[in-house]
Amino acid sequence: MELSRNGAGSLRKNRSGFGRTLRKCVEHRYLLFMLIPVLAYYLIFNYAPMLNLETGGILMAFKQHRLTKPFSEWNWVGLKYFEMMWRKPDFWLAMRNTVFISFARLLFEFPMPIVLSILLNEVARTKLKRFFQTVFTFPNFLSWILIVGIMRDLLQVDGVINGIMTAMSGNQPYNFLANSEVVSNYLMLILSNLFKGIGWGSIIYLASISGIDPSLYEAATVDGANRWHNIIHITWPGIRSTAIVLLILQCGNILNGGFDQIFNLVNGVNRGIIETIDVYIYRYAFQQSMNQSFAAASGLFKAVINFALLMAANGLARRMGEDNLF
Amino acid sequence: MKKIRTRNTLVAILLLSALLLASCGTAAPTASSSPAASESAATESAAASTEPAASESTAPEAMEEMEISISVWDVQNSFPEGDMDEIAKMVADKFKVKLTPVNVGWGDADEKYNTWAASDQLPDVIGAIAHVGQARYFQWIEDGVVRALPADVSKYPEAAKLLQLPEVTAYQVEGKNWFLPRATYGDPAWWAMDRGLIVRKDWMEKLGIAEPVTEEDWINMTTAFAKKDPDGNGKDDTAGFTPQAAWILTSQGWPGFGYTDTRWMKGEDGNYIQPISGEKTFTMMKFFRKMYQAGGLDPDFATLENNQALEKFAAGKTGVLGRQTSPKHLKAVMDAWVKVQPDKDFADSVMLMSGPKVEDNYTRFSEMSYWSESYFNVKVDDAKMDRILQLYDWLYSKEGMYAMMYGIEGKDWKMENNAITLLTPVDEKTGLHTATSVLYPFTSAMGYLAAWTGDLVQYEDPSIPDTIRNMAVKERDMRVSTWKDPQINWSVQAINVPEKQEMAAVKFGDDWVKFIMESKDKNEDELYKAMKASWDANGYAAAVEAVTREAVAKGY
Repeated sequence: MELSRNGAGSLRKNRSGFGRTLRKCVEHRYLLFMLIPVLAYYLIFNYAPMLNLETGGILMAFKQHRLTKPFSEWNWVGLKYFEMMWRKPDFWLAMRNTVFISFARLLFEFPMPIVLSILLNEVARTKLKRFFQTVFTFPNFLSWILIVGIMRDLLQVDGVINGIMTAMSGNQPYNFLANSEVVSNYLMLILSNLFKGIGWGSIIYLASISGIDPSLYEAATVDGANRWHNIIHITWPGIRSTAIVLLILQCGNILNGGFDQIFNLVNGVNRGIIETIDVYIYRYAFQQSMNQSFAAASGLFKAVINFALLMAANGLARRMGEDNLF
Repeated sequence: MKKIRTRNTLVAILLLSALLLASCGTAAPTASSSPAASESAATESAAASTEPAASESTAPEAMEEMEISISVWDVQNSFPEGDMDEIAKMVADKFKVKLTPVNVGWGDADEKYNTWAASDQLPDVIGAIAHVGQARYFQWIEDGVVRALPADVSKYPEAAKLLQLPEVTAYQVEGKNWFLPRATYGDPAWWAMDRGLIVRKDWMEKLGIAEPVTEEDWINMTTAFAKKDPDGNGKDDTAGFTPQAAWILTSQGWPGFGYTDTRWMKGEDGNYIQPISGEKTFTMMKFFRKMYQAGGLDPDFATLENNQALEKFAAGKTGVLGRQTSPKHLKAVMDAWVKVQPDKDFADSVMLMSGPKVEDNYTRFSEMSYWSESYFNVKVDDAKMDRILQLYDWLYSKEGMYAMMYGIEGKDWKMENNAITLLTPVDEKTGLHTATSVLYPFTSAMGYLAAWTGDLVQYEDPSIPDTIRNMAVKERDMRVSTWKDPQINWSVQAINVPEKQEMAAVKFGDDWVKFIMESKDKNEDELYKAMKASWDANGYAAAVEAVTREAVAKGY
């Protein structure tokens, strides 16, 4: 009797919970409506290719890919391509590069849009603020091909930078674009990525800053706070939760490392330093051996690790009492 | 009212979703938007059948017009916007074809083809490719990406001659030919001129440099070109040696170090190796490393693209250019030169040289009588294959070659005393005839679709000045008669083992470039040891073993 009463109560509770969710969905139907394109994007471009058995999908990593034969005629090879991946030193080199480059990005690139948004927020004149914002955001709309073209003109041996450096120091020109020095290559990657993305990255922080109640600044100023105090005690706490969420998302991208930028900058000399997993996969799939199955195995491995890192970062943020994704 | 609104919202959501899904679906390929071969009902049968359609003596007027998608490097140059030129019209009428260009560049052809092969989007004629004997050649055949040529090609006499060459039949699979070779030289020994060094003779004289003999001499000369202001403009803006691309370094550009190229050769221990990985190449690379450290090797050599090296040389910014040195290629350098330095005579200012002789003799660059091939999409049916073969056969013939090289007989050229006389306008400044590709853009890329026409006729080509031709002929005759032939066994190159595919990502050339540029204090032996270990771990050792095993089994 007791049990059935509890059971009925739980059912009622579930029903009311479901009903409440449904009601909320109806209430926010226009917001949910806006979510549909995003969901469709992920379904069509991320999940459908993985599950598309006509072209192999995720199972391509476990079968021997044949170019024109139907999937059913491909031979099962088990973990052959994962074993091959495990044995290949160049895979681990690409893996190491990806991790190192991503951590360097986390360390040096991630904070920069935050700094820029705070600085922009401190510009008092609206027109000047908009001008700077436009200047910093514009490079985001240039393609990497174009940016690398500009970089070549600037950085090649007889380029502008070397011209200035050799004129000032009298030393031999330095080949920025083709060398195997870690520091020089990482600097090139980080600075060019900042040039392209810092303005765009700061938009989300500027939006968060605009949500901070202006009366807080007024009250603090009345209490004798200077600009620095305002930044530390009002602006930063106001954008911290946004920064944490973006940091967690960034952790899920650790093995991505940036394809377009590196694909356009990699060459025979710096390959060992800057080739990332994505470029490596592309190389195996389309440039040299056309080994699609091997490329699929490497891609799957990368996706699993990325997912694990995302979960770990999210769990860590939750334990530290910060905002998290789910 | 509320219900109606909810229903409307739902309908809107469903419509939007359907629209999104529909727009992302796979559309049927069309000739204008996709490089895919034009559809054929006989896709399956085309792969299996090797007999041409019955069009033995069909006159052009009785033939049905056929659309053929063609891809070769920069093919778009042959099909500019606007009306077709006279030769394009003549070809279209003669073969009743509508040719659709599918462009690929020199740098991206392989990637594009790989992507199109994976997505079933290849054009009818896949012409910008040089992979015979490589892993992808066999993969495309095994996977049914390309079709075989007809067994009986007697209807196409020019093509038939080429298909009987031993270096073509060596690559037959299942007893069938799978490609048409891009004919390059009647005599393969003439490949000797496809690598070489063009040196600024006037700079040598100005700086008082005698003809270099030893490795040290060469390093000194290139360093002087880079540092002693040979052009006298008071600026530090010249380089010593600039290779057209990094592969010139290993591919017999400096032939005095022995055979250092990529063809599989029998080593002293009986194993078949790619000499680019061997000790001779190591010796040569130490030489380049020294030259680089001394400042003689162009510091930009690793990142030069396309014709940058040629342009640098033509503009007087480098003293030694590493590239092809046959008449056609020398003329290409001269054409660029006269634009920048019209007052300085090209032939008087340069000379051809060969680098230091480290071994007892120089070793020639050697290739088959063709370089690169044309393949045909498996969707091309027998009727279309027949039309394509007719077109190729004509392009291989003298009639076709002359049309591509010189234009229309009687209007642009005439035959006098068994030699061609050009009738095309002459540029007053340069004294050169207007290029045929300017008069008839169709000839620019189509001129090398079937054969490297410019290479085949270059020793007789009247558009090339005698001074240049004589320079090249003298050098060619010397090389052919005195230099060592590497004796490449083409059957060994044709060996098909999976290990070759697994080592496809090993980049010997890239690693050597890195070796040259590594800092001075690094030990060369250790660097080489590490490189060899990396190549072996990435599949080279297994490939050496497999190729050797197969070669021994086949008695090569």
